[in-house]
Amino acid sequence: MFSMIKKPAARGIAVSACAALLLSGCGGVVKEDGKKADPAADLPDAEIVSPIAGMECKTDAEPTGDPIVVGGSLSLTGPLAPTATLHKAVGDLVVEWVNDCGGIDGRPLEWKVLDDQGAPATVTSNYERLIGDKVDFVMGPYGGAAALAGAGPVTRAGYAYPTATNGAPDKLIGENHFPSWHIGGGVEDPTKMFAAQAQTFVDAVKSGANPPKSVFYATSKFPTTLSYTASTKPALEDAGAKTVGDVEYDLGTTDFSSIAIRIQNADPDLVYVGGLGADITNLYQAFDAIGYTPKGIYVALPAPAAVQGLGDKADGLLLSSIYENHPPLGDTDVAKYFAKSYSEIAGKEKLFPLVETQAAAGFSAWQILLTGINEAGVDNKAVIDWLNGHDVETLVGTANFDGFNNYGSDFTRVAQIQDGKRVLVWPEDVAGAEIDEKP
Amino acid sequence: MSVSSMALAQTLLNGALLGCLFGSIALGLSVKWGHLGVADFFHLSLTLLGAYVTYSLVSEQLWDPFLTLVVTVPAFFLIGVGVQWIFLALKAEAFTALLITFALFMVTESAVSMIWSPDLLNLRPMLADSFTTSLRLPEPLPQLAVQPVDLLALVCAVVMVGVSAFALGRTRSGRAVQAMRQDSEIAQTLGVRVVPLTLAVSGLAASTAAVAGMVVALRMPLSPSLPLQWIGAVVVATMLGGLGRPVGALVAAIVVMMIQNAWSLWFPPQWSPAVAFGVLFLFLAGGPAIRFVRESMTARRLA
Amino acid sequence: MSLLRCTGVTKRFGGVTALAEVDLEVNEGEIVGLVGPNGSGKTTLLSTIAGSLPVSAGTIEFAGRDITRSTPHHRAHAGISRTFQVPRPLPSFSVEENVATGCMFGRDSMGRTAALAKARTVLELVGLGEHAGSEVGKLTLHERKFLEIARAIALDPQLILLDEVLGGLNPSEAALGMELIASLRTRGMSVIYIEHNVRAVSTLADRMYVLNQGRNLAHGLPADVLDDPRVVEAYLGGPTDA
Repeated sequence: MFSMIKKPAARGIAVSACAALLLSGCGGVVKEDGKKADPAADLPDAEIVSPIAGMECKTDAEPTGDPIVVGGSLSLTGPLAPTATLHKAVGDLVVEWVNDCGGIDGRPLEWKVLDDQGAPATVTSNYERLIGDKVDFVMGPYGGAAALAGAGPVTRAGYAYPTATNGAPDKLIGENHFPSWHIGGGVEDPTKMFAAQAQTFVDAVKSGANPPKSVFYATSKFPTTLSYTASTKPALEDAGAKTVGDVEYDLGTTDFSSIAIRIQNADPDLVYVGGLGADITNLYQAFDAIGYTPKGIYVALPAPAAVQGLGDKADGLLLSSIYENHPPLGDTDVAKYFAKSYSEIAGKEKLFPLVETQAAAGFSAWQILLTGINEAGVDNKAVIDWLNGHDVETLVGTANFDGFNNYGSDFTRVAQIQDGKRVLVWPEDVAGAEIDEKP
Repeated sequence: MSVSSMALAQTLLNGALLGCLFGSIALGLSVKWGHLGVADFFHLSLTLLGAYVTYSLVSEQLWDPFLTLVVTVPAFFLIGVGVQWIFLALKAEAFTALLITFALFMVTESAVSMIWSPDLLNLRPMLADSFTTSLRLPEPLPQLAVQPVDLLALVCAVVMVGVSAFALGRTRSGRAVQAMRQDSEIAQTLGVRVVPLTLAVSGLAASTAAVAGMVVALRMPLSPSLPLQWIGAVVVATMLGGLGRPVGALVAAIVVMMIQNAWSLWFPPQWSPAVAFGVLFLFLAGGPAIRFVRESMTARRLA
Repeated sequence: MSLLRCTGVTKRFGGVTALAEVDLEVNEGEIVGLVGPNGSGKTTLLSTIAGSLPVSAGTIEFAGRDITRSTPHHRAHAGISRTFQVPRPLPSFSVEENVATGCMFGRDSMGRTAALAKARTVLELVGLGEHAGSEVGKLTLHERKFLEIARAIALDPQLILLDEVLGGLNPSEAALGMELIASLRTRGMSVIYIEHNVRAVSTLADRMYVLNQGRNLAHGLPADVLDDPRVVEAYLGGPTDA
């Protein structure tokens, strides 16, 4: 039995030997200045202001009386948790903010979240339960399938249904639906929605000095990204960009080495990645492995932390966006206070600390709901009627609910990483810089 | 060489090196499944946990990744012992044990989300350029590139698999493990201390997860659901390699990943995860089919 | 001097009492025969002595120490080894590796190389020298039975428990077996020897114990025991060499 001891010992020696070997070969594994720079470090301090137009922030007034309860379901665990956690943080922040401002009509705001683990069936039962518990209002869940699953009970019970992330835009929810982020705003024909967002992207790349002449498409088999690519490919082809490759990969793929080699062989002007989450990180890892640098690259729905994690390599990377934290949209008092307080709560939750698409959409959805309550009172029918008849000022722009499925203003935008910062480059009215395309 | 044969060579090389990482993960699973009779899905979670702990120690405490092994290897040994102790205390049947490890698998995913955030964590930006820049192979193959981290995966896999195979096949303890696997009661009457041996094997298998986890942390961005993406390749490698055979698991992982990668180069990549299972199916179906053909030919000759 | 002493050993399986207050004693260098009709509890008693079955009551002392609660491997290290009625070789080990396993983990634990060398000597002793490298699946029944004995010897025990090692062998094989058992004593081992063939036992044994329905029926010198009317009756009133 004594030789049992030999095994770990031998293993330990061998591992340290190989470690020593590698260390001497590479001169250390970790950078000297190992600690990551905090992208939120230079956010300016901001004064508290009312989170919505038409409400006054009374910091000296403690809210009293029965709370106004908003119920919601989020995928706090499971595969959608990374982004859902962000929406939870935004909700927590908004509730604290409103209560710091004296509540709504002097009443405190409260928010009650149930975990749905990303399962649509659970989303449905969560909203049934919340409505059974007589919450005053609801906030939509995270994710297209979840938003649809929640719509049933919410609509039947006559509640207003604000949503932040609608990944299944052509599925009708109804007149009680108030999205802050949607694809193809203002379009009346649901089949044209992705075409509208594709056109925005094509306009963006055409606005630069060197629009791509050849494009390689790599798309994750996920409904939204498949629709993105399906509409963008003909639009780019019409604009004169030849398709030199088109592959699809499984959701959650981590090994991109073969796709990277295909891209290297085609060497396109633009790599169009219909990917989400960490796809971009894994793809760059595969590029690194073969020593390839793409000329231009676009990625549909990357996790902010994934882009941040690429460091210098991300420079020039294009991505879809509705908001980045810079003027003109980021220049308001509300935007500044939100940016500062979000970076604090995100730091605590170990989330990406800057406000970008998801956090901005989440906050805007709350702004829509709160504006409705503030204007029409604690009554869902009144809130629905008011919102359908009025525009709402949100972080991402002026929202209206006029189009198909209540999709109004178009917030589809294109952002780029320039000098390590995320900036909107299209359309011009919200852009912080011009698109930078390498020849 | 033409571009496409170069591309194929590169793809196969990448696949082989990634196979080394999966082989390192499959090693622990194979040993526990083959020798202790526990198909331990929790082993994949341990690998993930190892990766996260490595991430924290490197990114927050600024430890050298190799130094983290000083902490993770012994800690994981204890976890492995603990889990096995639970199985022994519960007198768990193979199926019960499977359910427990599956439950632990699910719980770990949630726990990792809660402790480290469900968001993506990536150690790569913190790594020295010399460690992230690919190396070109020497002549005659200067077009082929390898990443230093993949070489690390190779070294770790070869060392761990080599030591395990040697220990199982050539040492006294290894023979005890094999005797125990064949007939635990007989092994006991021959003087094998089955309980401590079982605990030690489980502990050692878990320690390999610490090493594999370190490689994972250096190799790829971390998210709590990663084990779900590994499970196919790892289970296939474990079964193809023959349960309880370290070298078999490594070779199978390398072969499967090479086939999978080559497939993705010429065919739609979205089918590549199915390729691993296809290979397993052919392997499992192939044995009986060959036997059937051979028997019917013998029968014909006799008739 | 007493090597093994079982006092009041009782074993119950649910409501069935397999052994009821059985006493048994083995002195150093002694061959003790254990006989009884089918189902009389012989193998159960052997298993409680080897530690594979825990006793429900009673004590077992070995070499002056109470081993009632010891695990099987402790008893193996203390110097007790056993064979199984139906041979249970480790199927994926070769013949010599089966025996070497006993050498490695028995009373004198040793390294693998030394164990293999010792295993070959033991195999020579039982007449399986030429099969050392064979797969166990290729052995005949009598060779398997002798492998079972070889593996028990390999532990270098003070007490060896033999469970019907001669059952199913032809007369010349059985004769070889009896020679082998007799030789164990000269190697310093005591033996408890279960056999259906009462005649064989009475030839080899210094003393005999007879169990019937899990109880001590008789014990003493073989000749006395065989003449005991209770024993004759227990064997269905038939001749004692049935």
